[in-house]
Amino acid sequence: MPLRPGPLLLLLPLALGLGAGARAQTLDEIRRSGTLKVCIWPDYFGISYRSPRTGALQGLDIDLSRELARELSARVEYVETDFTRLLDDLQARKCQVAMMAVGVTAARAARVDFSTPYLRSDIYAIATRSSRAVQTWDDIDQPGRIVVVQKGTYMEPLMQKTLRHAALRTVERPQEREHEVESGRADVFITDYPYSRRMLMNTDWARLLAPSRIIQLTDYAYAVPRGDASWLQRINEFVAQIKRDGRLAQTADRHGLLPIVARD
Amino acid sequence: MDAPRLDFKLEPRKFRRLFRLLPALALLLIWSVYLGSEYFIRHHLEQGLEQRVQRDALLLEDHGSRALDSVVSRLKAVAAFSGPTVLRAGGLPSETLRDLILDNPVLRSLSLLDPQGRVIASSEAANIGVRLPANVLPGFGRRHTDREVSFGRVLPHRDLGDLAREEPAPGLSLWLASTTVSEAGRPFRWVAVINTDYFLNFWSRYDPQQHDDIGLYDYEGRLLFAQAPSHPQADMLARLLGQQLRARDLGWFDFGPHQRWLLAYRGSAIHPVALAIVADRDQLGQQDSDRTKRLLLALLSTLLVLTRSTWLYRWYLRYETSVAELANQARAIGAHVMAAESDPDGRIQAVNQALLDKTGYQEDELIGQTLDLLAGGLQPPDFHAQIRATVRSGQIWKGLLQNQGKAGEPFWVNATVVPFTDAWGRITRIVSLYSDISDAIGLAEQLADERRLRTELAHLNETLTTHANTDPLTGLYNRRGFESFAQQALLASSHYARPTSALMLDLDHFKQVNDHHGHAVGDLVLREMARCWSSQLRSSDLLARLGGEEFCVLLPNTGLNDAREVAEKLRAACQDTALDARAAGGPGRLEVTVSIGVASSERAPGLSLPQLLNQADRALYDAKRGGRNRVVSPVLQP
Repeated sequence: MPLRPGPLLLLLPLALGLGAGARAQTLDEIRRSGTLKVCIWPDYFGISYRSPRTGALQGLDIDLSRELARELSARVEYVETDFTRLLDDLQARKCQVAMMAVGVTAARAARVDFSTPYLRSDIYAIATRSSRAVQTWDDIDQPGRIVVVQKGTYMEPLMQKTLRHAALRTVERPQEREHEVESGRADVFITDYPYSRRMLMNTDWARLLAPSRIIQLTDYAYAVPRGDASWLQRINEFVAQIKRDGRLAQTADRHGLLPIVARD
Repeated sequence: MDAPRLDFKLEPRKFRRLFRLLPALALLLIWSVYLGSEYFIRHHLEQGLEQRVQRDALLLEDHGSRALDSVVSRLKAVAAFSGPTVLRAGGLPSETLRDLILDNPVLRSLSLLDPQGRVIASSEAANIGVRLPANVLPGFGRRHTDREVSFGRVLPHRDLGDLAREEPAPGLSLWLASTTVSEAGRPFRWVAVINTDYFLNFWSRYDPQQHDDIGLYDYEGRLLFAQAPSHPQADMLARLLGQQLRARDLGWFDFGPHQRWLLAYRGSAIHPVALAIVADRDQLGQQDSDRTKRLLLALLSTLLVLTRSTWLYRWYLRYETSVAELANQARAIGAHVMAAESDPDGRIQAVNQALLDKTGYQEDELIGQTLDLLAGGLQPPDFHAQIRATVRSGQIWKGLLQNQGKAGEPFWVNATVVPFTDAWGRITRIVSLYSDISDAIGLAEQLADERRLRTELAHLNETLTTHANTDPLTGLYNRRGFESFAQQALLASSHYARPTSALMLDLDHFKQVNDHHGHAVGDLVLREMARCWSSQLRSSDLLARLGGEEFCVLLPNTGLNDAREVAEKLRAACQDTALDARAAGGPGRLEVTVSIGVASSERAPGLSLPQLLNQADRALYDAKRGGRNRVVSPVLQP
C-alpha cells in the first residue's frame, strides 16, 4: 500500500520536536538495508517465544513481524531483549520496532513511542495448585503473603502501587518467578494473559487466579524509538490494517490470544 | 377344525400357582443379579484398590526419596565445601547459595547456623541473623557425626525468619533437614528448609480427586505431613505403621472398624521416612457412582414386577371367572338347545350332541355342509342364504323353521342365528341355536282338539237333558224332570228341617174338552193353564206336567197351610180364566176348572217323594169325589 500521509500527520514530526526531522529516516534505512530489526523477548510465551525444544521462534508477534517485513519488502532480524533492557535498546536503536506486546505505561511512553494498541489484558496471578494459603484473588493481598513480579514488566509498578499487606518481591532471571512460587518462597506471581496461557498449557502444578474485578486493563502496543513520525505512522497503519483485514484476530486465535485482542 | 366350544378346561390350581411362582422367580432373578453385581463390583473395586494403593505407594515413595535425595545431596555438597575458611568467613554469599537451590522446588532455603543457632549465611537474605531455638533443629540432643543428614519436625512456617519469630504462616509448612560440620570442635549446621508443599502439590496432581490420603511418616509411624489434616484413627495408624515398619520396609494392612481403611506403605531405603497411602473402603461405594442407579433399577423392576403381576393375577382371576361362567352358559345352552357353528359362508364347522340326537345325523355327515341339508326342501331354496345375509350384516336372525331329520321326519324349531365376532368386530363364525318346538306344537294341537270336543259334547248334553226332562207342549218339566228336581229339593229341605209341600192338580172334565173341541183346543188349554199357574208361583216353586191333564207343584219351604192357600189361589185363577180358543178353532170363551190335592211333609218329616205325592194324589182323589173344582188337603192329625 502506497504511503499517503494526510496533511495533519505531515505536521506531526514538526510538532514532536527539533530532533524529529533528523531521525525520520527509519523507512529509508529499512529500504536501504532490506532488513527490519525487531526487538523481542524470547521468553514471552504466545507473543515471541523461542521454543526450548526446537529453538524456533513462535508467537503472535513473530507472525505479525513477518507480515510487517513482507509489507516493507524486507527480511526480519530479531534482536533479543527483555523488559529491563528494552527501553535502552530502543533508544540505542538496536532495533527499529519492539514487537513483543509492550504494555503501555506512562514511564515507558516518556522514552519511546507507542503505536495504537493491538492487545488489551488485565493481570493474572499464578499460585501452586496445592496452595492452601491462596485460593482466590482476594487471598493475595494479605499479611504474610509474598507476591513476585518480573523486573521491568508493567506489573512491577502496578503491584508496588496496589499491594497493601502482602510483600512484593521482584525477580529478574528467567523462570525465577515460577521457581519462587513452586518452592514456596513466594505465594503467587503476577503476570498477564499470554504468560498465564503458557503456565496453564505447560505445567500442571500451577493454578491461575483471575482477578475478581478489573484491576487494571493494560494496552499492549508496538514501541518504536522516539522521533520518527513517519515510521510510527507506518506502524500505526499496519496495526489498523491487520485489525481491519482480520489478520490480527486470525493470528491471535492461532496463539490462543483472541480474548485479549483490542478491537478499537 | 376346533372342537365345539362347549367344554372349557380350566386348571385354576395350576395357573394360580404359576401366577404366584412367576413373579417370585422374576424377583429372585432381579435381586440375584443385583446382589451378584454388587458383590462382583465390590470385589473388583477392592481388588483394584489394593493394587492401586500398592502401586501408588511404590511410585510416590520413589518420587519422595528422589526429592529428598536432592536435598541431602545439596546439604552434603555445601557441608563438603564448608572448610574452616568458609566457616570462619561467615559461610557463603546469599547469591551463591541461592543459585545452588534456585531450580530445586523442594528447597525453600539453605542456611548455615553457627554453634549458637544463629544464621550466619542463607540463600534467603532475610534469614541471616535470626537465631533458632535448639529444640526445633533436626537431631537435637543426638550425637552427630559429620555430614550425616537428619530430618526434623514439620513446622507451620514459611522459612527460618518467621520460625525464629514464632509467627506461623497460615497454609504453609516447612520441614527441616540438617547436617553438622565441625570447626575446631564447634558444631556448625547447614539447615535446609524443605518445601512440604512440593510433595503435597505433586500428590494432589497425582490423585486429583483425593480418593486416598497420601502422607509421609517417620520410621516410628508418626505423621510428618499428609494431604488430609488428620486421620480419625491417627493413633492406631501410627502404632500399626510403626510396628509394620520395624518388621518390613513395604507392605499393606487393614485397620479400623470393619477393616475400613487400607494402608499401603513403603519405607525409604535411604531416608528415615516412609510413604503411606490410606484408602477408605467406604469411599469405594461413592466412587461407584452407578450404585444408586443399580439399586433404583432393582427397586423399580421389583415394583414393576409386583404391580404387573398383581394386575395379571387379577386379570387371570377375572378371566377364570368368566371362562367358568362361559362354560356354564355353554353347557346350559348345549343342554337346552341344538347348536351348530358355521363359518361365515355357512359351512358347518361344529355341531352339538343335541342336534345330532335330534336329527340322527353323525357329526362327520354334517361338517362342511350347509344348514340347507337340514331344511330338506321344506323351505325355499335361498332361505338359509337369506338368513346368512342377515347375519353377515351383523344382525341376529330369529324365527321358526321346519327342519327334517336324517330319516325325513319333520320337526319344528325356534331358531336364533347369531353372528360371532372376534376382538376386532369381524364376523368369524355363525352360530345357530335351535330349540325343538315340535312337542309344543303337537301339544297345542291336542289341546285345541280336546276343547272342541268338550264344547260339542256339552252342547249335545244340554240338548239331550232338555228333551228328556221337559214337556214339549207346555215347556214345563215332565214327570222325570220333576222327580229329579223334587228329589233334590226334598233332600235339601229335610236337611235343613224345613217342610216341603206338594200340590196335585187335575183339570176337570178335560176329556170332554178334547172330545168336544178337539185336541188342538185341549193343547191350548193345557198351555194356557201352565202359563197362568206359572205366573202365580214363586220362582223357587216347581210346576210340572206329569202327564195328560195332570200337573204337580212342588213348594219347597212351605207348610201345609201355606200350601193350601197356594192351591186355592191356583184353583181360583183357573176358575177365573176365560180362555179364548178361537186360534185353535174352539169357542171364543171356554171355562175350565181344576181339582187340587194338597200334601205336606210338615207333620211328617222324612217323608219320601213318592209318599208325599201319594198323599197329594189321595187328596186329589177326595177332591174329585167331593165334586170337583175344589182343594182338598188331609186333615191334620192333632
